Amino acid sequence: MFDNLLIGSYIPGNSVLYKLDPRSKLWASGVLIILTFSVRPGLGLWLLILGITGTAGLARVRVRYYLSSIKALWPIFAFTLVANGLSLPGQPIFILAGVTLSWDGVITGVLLSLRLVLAVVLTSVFTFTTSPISLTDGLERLFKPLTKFGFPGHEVALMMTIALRFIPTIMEEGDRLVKAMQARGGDLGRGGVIKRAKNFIPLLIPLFISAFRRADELAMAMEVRCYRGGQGRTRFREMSFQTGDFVVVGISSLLLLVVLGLHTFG
Amino acid sequence: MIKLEKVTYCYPDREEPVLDQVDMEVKPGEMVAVIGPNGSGKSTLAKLLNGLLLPVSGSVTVDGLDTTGTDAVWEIRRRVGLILQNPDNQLVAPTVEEDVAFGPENLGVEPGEIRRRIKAALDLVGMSEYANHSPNRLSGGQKQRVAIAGVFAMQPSYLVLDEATSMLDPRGRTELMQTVQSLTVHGVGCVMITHHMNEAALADKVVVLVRGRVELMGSPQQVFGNSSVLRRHGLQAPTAARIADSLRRGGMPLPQGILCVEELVKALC
Amino acid sequence: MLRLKDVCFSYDRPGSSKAVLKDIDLRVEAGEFLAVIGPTGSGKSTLLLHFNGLLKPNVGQVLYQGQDIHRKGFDLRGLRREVGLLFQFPEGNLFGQTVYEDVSYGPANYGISGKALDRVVEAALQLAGLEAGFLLRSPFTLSGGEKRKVALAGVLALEPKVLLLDEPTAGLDPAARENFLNLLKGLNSQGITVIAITHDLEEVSRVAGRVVILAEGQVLADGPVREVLTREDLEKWELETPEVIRLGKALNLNVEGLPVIFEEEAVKTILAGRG
Repeated sequence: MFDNLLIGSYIPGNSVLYKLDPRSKLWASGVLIILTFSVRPGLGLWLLILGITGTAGLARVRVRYYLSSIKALWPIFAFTLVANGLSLPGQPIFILAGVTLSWDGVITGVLLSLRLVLAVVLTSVFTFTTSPISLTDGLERLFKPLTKFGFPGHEVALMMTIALRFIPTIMEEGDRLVKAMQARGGDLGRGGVIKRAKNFIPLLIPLFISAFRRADELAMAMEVRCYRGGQGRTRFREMSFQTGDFVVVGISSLLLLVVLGLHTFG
Repeated sequence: MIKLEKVTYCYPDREEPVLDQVDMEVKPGEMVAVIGPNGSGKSTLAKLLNGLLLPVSGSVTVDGLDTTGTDAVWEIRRRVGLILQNPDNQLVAPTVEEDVAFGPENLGVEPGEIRRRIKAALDLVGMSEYANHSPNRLSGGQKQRVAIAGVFAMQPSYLVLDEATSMLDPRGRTELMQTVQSLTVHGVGCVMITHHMNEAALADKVVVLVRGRVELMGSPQQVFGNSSVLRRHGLQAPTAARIADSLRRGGMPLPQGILCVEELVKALC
Repeated sequence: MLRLKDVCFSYDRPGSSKAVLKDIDLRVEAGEFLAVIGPTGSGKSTLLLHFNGLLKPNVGQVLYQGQDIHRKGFDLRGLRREVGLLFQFPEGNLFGQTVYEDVSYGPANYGISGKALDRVVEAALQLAGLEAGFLLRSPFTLSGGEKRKVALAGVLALEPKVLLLDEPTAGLDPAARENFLNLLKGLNSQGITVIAITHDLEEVSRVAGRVVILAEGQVLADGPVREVLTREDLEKWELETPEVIRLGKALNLNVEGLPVIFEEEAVKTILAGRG
């Protein structure tokens, strides 16, 4: 039922951003998020807004998808605005029952909310244009050098892949279990705290048991297909940096250096 | 050829053998059905065929390789694919394509070749349009076909299906049987462990396993003609065979070896 | 007793507005054994979930003993006591540490406890074909067929008047299937109305009195077993005409003017014809 929404909100499409290597996207997103929260208001911030909006434009994903992500977070924005407005000193807008709402506070709140919106748009661009599979692939490759230090990179990536595969299945199972409970007069919402906790037992126990059985059978199925860990494994999905990727990594790295430089010496 | 010679198997904590002195052969391109009542050791047999379990005595050899030889284990697993009952718990990846790639990736096959094998495998099982689909949205029959594609991409010589159709609806079962028949045409020897007699009737050879022993072995006509043995062990022949048998007992002269309705109609007209 | 009146239903899914059920009008009388058959994806499970109110139609009404179950004030929870539902592969829903714990879940939800609860659980086990010795066993040590019976007992413990079953014999080996079918037949003969979704037309012919074909969300056929199972267009709906019926048609076998659907009648008729 909700596997559309759940799988990292990937929206199939084919703009230039879809064709980029997930590793370069990961790097650029990481850098841009740092910049979003560290760049000072003024020209820098305007350039950032322009840059992020431009990137979103490149993605060619319908605006309404971004809007629904932003809309979902409105309580956070409201809270940020009010909290900053009430706690920071400055020229008062009005005073009520000893609590002051200051202009400076509100402006700080607005700016902070703006940064949050930018962060949301940025991460949305990333998840909309990167399929979960290529993300886990990208992560696996990034982890590869770390495996020399004993980090189980391949195993972590495989776990993510299997989780992605089974999350919708297990959610549907949970849904069926809830219906089965309702069919016997069970009700998840009733009773006091303890009763409610007990109400979950007919749901959790079968889910756990079935999850263990799945793990067991899946492990056998994997062995049958000659899985023996990450050694000697190839990947059919080939990934190599194209010109676009070098450009993206280059520009974002440059921006990072510039901002770090300004912070240190500015 | 897969050869079982006097294979006996007991679970570690039990005394009674689950399989007792079983002799059996599977040739490339052959379809062998294994039937038997519950507890007859059919699933254990499936796991012995590809080395997941090792015989306590006797030997299992696959194209001359002994399953107890430690160096041949992975080669044997590659040659003898296994499809299990639960369609869901065999698919590892979030898309069909990725899942079919899993086996060849484990074997270290180079990417271009993997891509070719994926295409060939999905074509064989009729799931090419679903390459980018999530397994979650597929029907049971489709999932089993993807599982078969995943094994086929490893270029096995044999395929063991352990009650692979028992959780499927009739359409899924038909699709699966068609796939199995395509496989045998490609030279893959298939062992079908099943309790659907009309599936067993399509095989080249039927093995009846009762309490770990081979009770009967032969062509479907021979095995299903032996109604007294079948009845004694709570097994049934396909409907047409049963009716033919009842008619013979009622005094009607009918040729032996009738397995399906068409043959029965012909014999009666 | 139960009626779906002009029911239409579609799931509220992003990207899918296809109607799953269209203009369904189905009446079920008390004591009937109704089988619902049809191709995969025809909406059979969805249909079943309407009978006990787990799904609510977008259009139309679900009537139980004349009353609209979705009107304000109707006790849906109470309805589920009288209309029990056994899901497909119900073994996956077992959770109790003992069979008793699992089977008593239903009646306990309705406030039954103590000796009355014990009584109802024991009676349910017996009806489901399990002996009293099973009460304290862990359900997870049981065989597939036994687990399914425990799940059935869990529904029977509510003492329902109607039993809804989604593919009750799916995945069972022939012996267990035969056993379960006889159980259901027994329950029906004791007055419980049974509505069962099934793919196995051979078993339909053995236990059902009436058959409904559901395809693409609509009722295509609704009538007595002999009439519906001998239709010419079954294959069109991915339904396999049972072998006996194919034989009967090919040889034009009739018993008292009606087409043959059982093995015994087929054998008798053929022998009589040649005698």
